[in-house]
This record gives sequence, C-alpha cells and structure tokens, in this order.
Amino acid sequence: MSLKVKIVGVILILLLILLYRSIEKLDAYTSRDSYCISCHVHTVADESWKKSTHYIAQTGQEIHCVDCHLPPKESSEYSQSKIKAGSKDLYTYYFKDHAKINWKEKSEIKNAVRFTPKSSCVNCHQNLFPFELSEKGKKAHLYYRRNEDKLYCINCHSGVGHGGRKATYEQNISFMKRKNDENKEVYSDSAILKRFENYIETIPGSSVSFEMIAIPAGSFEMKIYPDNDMERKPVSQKTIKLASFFMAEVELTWDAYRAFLTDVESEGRSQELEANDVDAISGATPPWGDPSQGWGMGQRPAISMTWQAATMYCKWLSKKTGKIYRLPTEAEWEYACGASMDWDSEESNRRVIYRDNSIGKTELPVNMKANALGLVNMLGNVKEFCSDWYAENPFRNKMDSVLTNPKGPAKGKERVVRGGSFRSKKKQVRSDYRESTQHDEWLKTDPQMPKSIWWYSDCRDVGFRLVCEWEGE
Amino acid sequence: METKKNKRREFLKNAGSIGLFCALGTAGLLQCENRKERDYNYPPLLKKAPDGSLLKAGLIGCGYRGTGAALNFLNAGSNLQITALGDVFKDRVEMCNSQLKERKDIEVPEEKCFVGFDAFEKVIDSGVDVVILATPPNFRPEHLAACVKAGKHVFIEKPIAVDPVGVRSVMISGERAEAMGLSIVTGTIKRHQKDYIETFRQVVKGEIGDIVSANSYYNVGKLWHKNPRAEWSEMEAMIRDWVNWCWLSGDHIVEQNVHNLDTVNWFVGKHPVKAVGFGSRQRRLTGNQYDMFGVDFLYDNDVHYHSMCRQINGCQNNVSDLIRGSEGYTNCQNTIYRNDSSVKWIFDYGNEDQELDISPFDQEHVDWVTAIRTGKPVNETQAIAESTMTGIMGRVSAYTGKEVTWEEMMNSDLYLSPKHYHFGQVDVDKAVPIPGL
Repeated sequence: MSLKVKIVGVILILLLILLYRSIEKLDAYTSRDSYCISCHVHTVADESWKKSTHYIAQTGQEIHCVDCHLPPKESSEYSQSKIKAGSKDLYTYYFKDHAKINWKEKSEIKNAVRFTPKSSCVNCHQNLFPFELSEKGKKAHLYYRRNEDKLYCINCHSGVGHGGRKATYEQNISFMKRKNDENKEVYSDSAILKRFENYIETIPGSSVSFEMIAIPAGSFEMKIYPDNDMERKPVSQKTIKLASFFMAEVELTWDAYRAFLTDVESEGRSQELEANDVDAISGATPPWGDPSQGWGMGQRPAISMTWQAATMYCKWLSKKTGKIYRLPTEAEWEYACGASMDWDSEESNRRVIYRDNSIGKTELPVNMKANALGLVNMLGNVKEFCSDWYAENPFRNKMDSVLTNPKGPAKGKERVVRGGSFRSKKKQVRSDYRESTQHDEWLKTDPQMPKSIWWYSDCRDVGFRLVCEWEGE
Repeated sequence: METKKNKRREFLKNAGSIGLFCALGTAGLLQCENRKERDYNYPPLLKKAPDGSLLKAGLIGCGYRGTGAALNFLNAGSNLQITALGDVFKDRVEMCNSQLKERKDIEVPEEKCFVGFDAFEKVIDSGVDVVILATPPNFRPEHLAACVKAGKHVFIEKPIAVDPVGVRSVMISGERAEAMGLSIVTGTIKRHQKDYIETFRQVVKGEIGDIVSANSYYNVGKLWHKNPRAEWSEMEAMIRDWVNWCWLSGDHIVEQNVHNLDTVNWFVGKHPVKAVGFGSRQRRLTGNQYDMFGVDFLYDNDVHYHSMCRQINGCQNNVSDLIRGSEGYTNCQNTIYRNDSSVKWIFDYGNEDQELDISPFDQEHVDWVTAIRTGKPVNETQAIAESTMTGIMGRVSAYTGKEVTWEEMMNSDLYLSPKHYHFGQVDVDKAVPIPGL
C-alpha cells in the first residue's frame, strides 16, 4: 500500500470521527429542552409542563422534552423520529401561522399518541405493578397488559406531561353526587301541552328548564350517499313524510342530564361493592373518570353518555313529565336540521362549532344563530344520537318511494349519530352527513367488566337532543 | 437513565442510521419489522442443572406432590438443599421429612419445620433462596405473592388458583417477578418434555397447517376421598379431602384437566374466548365437585376445542390430546399424522421403551435451577394463569349451564375461599352446583 493511500485513509478516518463527533454534539444540542422551546411556539405547553409530574419527577429525576416526545435513544426509531419531528417543527416554525395552530386538538389522545411514543413511557415505567399500586391500578394495568395492541399509556394517563390536572382513574362516584344550586327555584310541575306551539319544559323536582320547538309536519327528500360522498349518485333517495313533533332548541345540557343522574343515583349501584344484588340495574352507575373533561358543565351540552343511557334518560323524563320524550329518528333529525347552506366561514362561525373554530372542546349554546326552525347547534358542537340502528343504506329493503315516519332498520350493531361535533371537519357538518356510534372504540379504555353501559370512556363529543311526541289536539 | 456506558455504541448506531436515513432519503423505508413467526421460549432441557452455589429451598405444602417435588428438586443437580418445610398439618411435615431422610438422607431440623396457616411466611423468612409451592391450589396466589415480595424464585405446582381473583393475583405476581428477574416455573410438565416440545416445533413449522380444531381427554378413575372424623374440625376435614372440594382444588376440570387445557392453549398459541360446558356428579362420596365435564371452548378465530374429563372408576380411560390442522393432525405428544391418518413424523426417543431419558418431573426442576444459575430467568406464570383461567371458565359454564366469556372471567370477582383460615366451621358455599338456575 502506498504512502498516499495510507495518508488518505487516515484523513478519511479522522474525518469520519470528526463527523461522528459533530453528529453526537448536534444530537445532544438539539435534545436540550431550551432548544425545543426556542423553536416551539407553544408557551402554554412549556408552562403546563413545568407544573406537571414530568418536569421534575417524584424521584427527583429531571425529565426532558425528548424523553417523552421521541422514542428511547436506544431504539432504532430514535434517529428517524428525531429527524422527522425536527423537520416538521422547522417547517411549521417558518411556514405556518402559529396563531392558527389548534393546540387543544393536538393534545387529544388520538393526535397526542403520534408524538408521545408508548415505548418512551415504558422505557422509564418498566414495572407496571409496583407493590404500592392500588387494587384499581392493578386491575387497570392488567387490562392494559391484555390489550396492549389497542391501548396507549396516555389513554388513561393523559395530562401527566403537561398541566396539573389530575386525571381520575376510577369510578367517579362524586360525579353523581353534585346537587342543584339551592338558590334556584325547584319546579314542582312539568309544562302542560295544549297547543302545538313552542313550550318551556320544566323538570319537576329540579330547577332545570329548556325550550322545546314545535316542528310542523311536512316532507323532504332524504338521500343516502355512498361513503358520505355527496359528489356521487345517492344509493337511495326517498320522500319522507313526517308527523308534527317537538324538538329541543339546544343539545341536552349537563344541568338537565345531572337532574337525571342525581335522581336515579340512589337506585343505582354507585357503591357497587356494598350491594350484592345483581338484578336489573335501575340507575346510572358512576362514570369512569370525568366525562365533563373539566370543560365545565351547566348549560354546556352533556357528553359521553352511551346511547342506552340517553334512551334511559328519555324514559325517565317521560315518566317525570307525563309526555313521550325520545331520541329523534334519523329522518326527523335531518328534516329538522334543514338543508345545509353553502355558508361562508363567517356565517359558519355564527352557526356551527366545528374543527376550524372550536378550541378542541364543546361550547355553550349562546350567541349561536338558530336555523330556520329555531334550533341551535344542530350542526357541530356535539354529535347527536338518533334512535335508529345504523345501516349504510337504511332504505335497502324499502320499495316505496314515499316513506312515512321511518324508524330505520330493525336490527343493527351501531346507532346513528348526526350533525358532527366540535372535532368535525367542515364537510362533516352537513345535514346529510351520516355517522354511527363506535361502540368498541368508544369503550376502549374502560377497564370495568362488564364495560359501562352508561358512559363511553373514549368519546367526548357525543350527546343528544330530545324529541317530544305530539299526539294531536 | 443509564445511557452513558453505552454511549459510544449507541452513537455509532445512531450515526449509522442517520447515514442510512440520508442515503435513502425517506422515512418509511427503515421499518423492516416482520415478526409473524411465533416466538417461544424453548427450555434448554439439560440433563442436569449446571453447578453453582448452594440453593436452599423451602417446601410449602408437604403432601404427596410436595414431597415428590422436593425429591425432584434434589435430583436436579448438585448443591441443592431442602432447608425448610411448611404445612398446615404436623403429620404431613413429619411424613415428608421422613421420606427425605429415607430417600435423600436429608433431615430438616425441627426449628425449620413450620405448621399452621402461617407456615408459608415462616418458610419464606427462614433464609431460603427458592420456594416450592405444592399446597392445594387455592392457597397458591397468596403464597406466590408473598414469595415474589420476598424476592424468591418459585416452583409453583399447577393449577395456580381456583377462581378469577386468584388468577389475577398470580398474573400480577408474575409481572412483578418478571420485573425483578425471578424465575417462576410451573408444574405443567408437558412443556418440559422433549417429545411434546419437538412435536410443538413441528406444528409451529406448519406441519399440520392451520389449526382447525382440538379435542382432549382426561378420563381417569377416582383419585381418593377422606371421610370426616370426629376429632377433625370442618376445616381440617375439608383440607384433608381437598381433591373433592371446589374451593380448595378448583374441581378436577381445573386441578387435573389443566394439563390438557395448557397443552391445547400452548399449541393453538392463545386462550379461548368463550366456553359452553356441562357436567354432573353421580359417584363422589364427599365434597361438592362434579365427576365429569364436557366443555366446548371457542378460540377467537372460530376454532372449537372440545375438552372432556372424568374421574370415575370402571369406565373407559383416556388421557390424550388431538389437534387437527388443515393439513394433518397431531397427538401433541410425539406424532404428526397426515389427513389420511398415515404418519408424517414421529419423535425419536432413541430407545425401545419409547421413554424420555429424564423424568419430566425432574426435568422441570432441572430447567428451573438452570434458569436461576445461568441468570436467564424463566417465567411461566402467564401461561399457567391463562390455562387455569380456561379451566375456571369451563367449570363456571358447566356449573351454571350458561355461556361464559373470557372477559367475564378476567373481570369476575368470584372468590371461593373463606375470608379467614382457621380450624373450625368453614364459611364457604358447600352445595353441589345446579345448572340452569
């Protein structure tokens, strides 16, 4: 080997070492918290991190951005993820409008899992069953162990990295105990229906009232599109004739829902370990965690109850008021919603709470423009249950072109939900956009068995709107 | 985070992947994970455990099987000792000690022989390194939890519990043992038999194709029973007659048939998701167990597994398994058959008697001690917990006549033992279960 080759070889090796060293230094430099924060524009996230248990852990260990937001350094995905995340951040930093970034949405579990790898959680938290773990914790972690492919740590432990909000990992019994405001009038009677006109319902024994809008009988064309693709030819089109009915002006509020919870709670098994009788469940059981998500309750729409719970609510209210309350049929819902206009964004903002104008949570139904019938938030805010079973084409076996008061398929697996929510894209908040419940998905992290029939553990944007039947003069 | 010592190696690895990343210029291409193949931890199956420092074992449960397990442990290699005995009954401890004396010339001194319901704690605290659990099954979850808490390696006889509460406790102990690097081996001997293991290898290789169904039989004669005596309290009478009481044994579908349930779960590679079963009792003289069970288990891919077991004298006996695949079938023990019943493969025992060189009862202890001495922990807890739960699911279905799901069992609060153990009246359900109520 000639001297030249040797020299070139040595220089190459030195250069390689230099390159490695530089990359190593670069990696260390770009892994510092200050580096992350320098480019990241979410001051809220920085502040909330400092309040969390993952700023300085109980053990005294310091935890850095990259410890949670990149895979463990030992893993083969580390470099790849780092380059990917870094490039994305740089792009966002230079080319995106920071004010328009929806941080709340990004922190939702389904998005957060993309930049909070599970492998990083378990890299530090290797023993899921420390001796001091509570019985409930054991049960929940055992459930996780057996469903690891479906679950992420942050499904339950959201908020451990940012913010001081302590998540509830157990049956939230106190949720059922909250009482109505003592200063408010408690109604002794419900409204009396004499004529077919709007009325204010008052729930006896509570201080809850809400307006019911008279929806006059009529007909409309109902089109079922394949895969909700309104550009394509409908798979079914029917003329729907509907009788008159009443529909609640707004989505059912937490105030109204909690009147039910507190009323039936005593009959339920809120202290389920005390009660050994396993006969019919008469009242709602406490939720797992906090269904109100800490967003506030009051006049905000009630969310996360199951379809069965919503149906049970209607039965309860019917008994309380002597009327026939129920969920709307899909046809009634669409009829009452009215055709969606091609609103500009300003008009949309006045009428619809959806992805582009929400901050990742429900809103109070105030100052929102009602539709032609006087109904508020038919589109957006929360998805609304209908009474029908869901089918891709609910009119598949119907020969007639005109259907009167259709009630949907006789059987099914999921129920219809309509109207989209604060999380929906613009194209999903239309009167003809159809969705269904996702039973398994919405109960994914509920470790109870049987899983709750009252509360969805993993759906925070479904609620319902009451319909009251009108039986004529 | 202990990253410093490996920093250079890591750095090289990272640098390498950065280079590769740049070269490919795209993110998705680095993913080359393709783990479809079944990974299974095959035991090394040595004839003797490697030499090592003295291992002192405590035996909890000094009956016939416990004494047997202690002898198997002593056969497993050199420098192994039994240094403490525990049982609820004094005569059992004495009998075990005399057996050890007679067969192995070992005598556990009186101060290391413990009697009573708290004997297990005393054995664990007596300075032992490892513990053999061979009491009736209902006691094992509590005993295992205590062993793991004390950092002891455990040999735990099958089944490991009698009810879902117990199974879950064992699952958690297993997880903890895993985190602590403890070795837990269970008494499901087939997983330590070379013939079964080699047959399993054939099945994993696809020699019978995809599994389509399974049958197993544990049809044997009566085990034994003991009539109550005037001088015994109800508790003593029950424990001495434990193979006839569900709260102690889990009934024989769990206690004995778990061998077959474990074999089929092992070969199929998962646990069933549902069971519909029946059973009955005609011949038993004591206790509240059934004499026979027939259960249709269902795996999640619609594979049915019919498992029958019976303990009545004078009937057709059969202890075997049969797993059928799309391209043949196997007895799980030593033979692969084609669909036309011709033999495709047979395990070579290398002797005329068709016997393994080493008793599987010894082998499981050889494997256990090997794991401890080589620092390569083995943890069979989850597998036996699942097989035990499979039996419990079948039993509950037979007792009630209803379909029972795995999820129901995993979340069931069924707990059969009395709240407190003491010699007196026993506060448990003693009725023979009647289905359809």
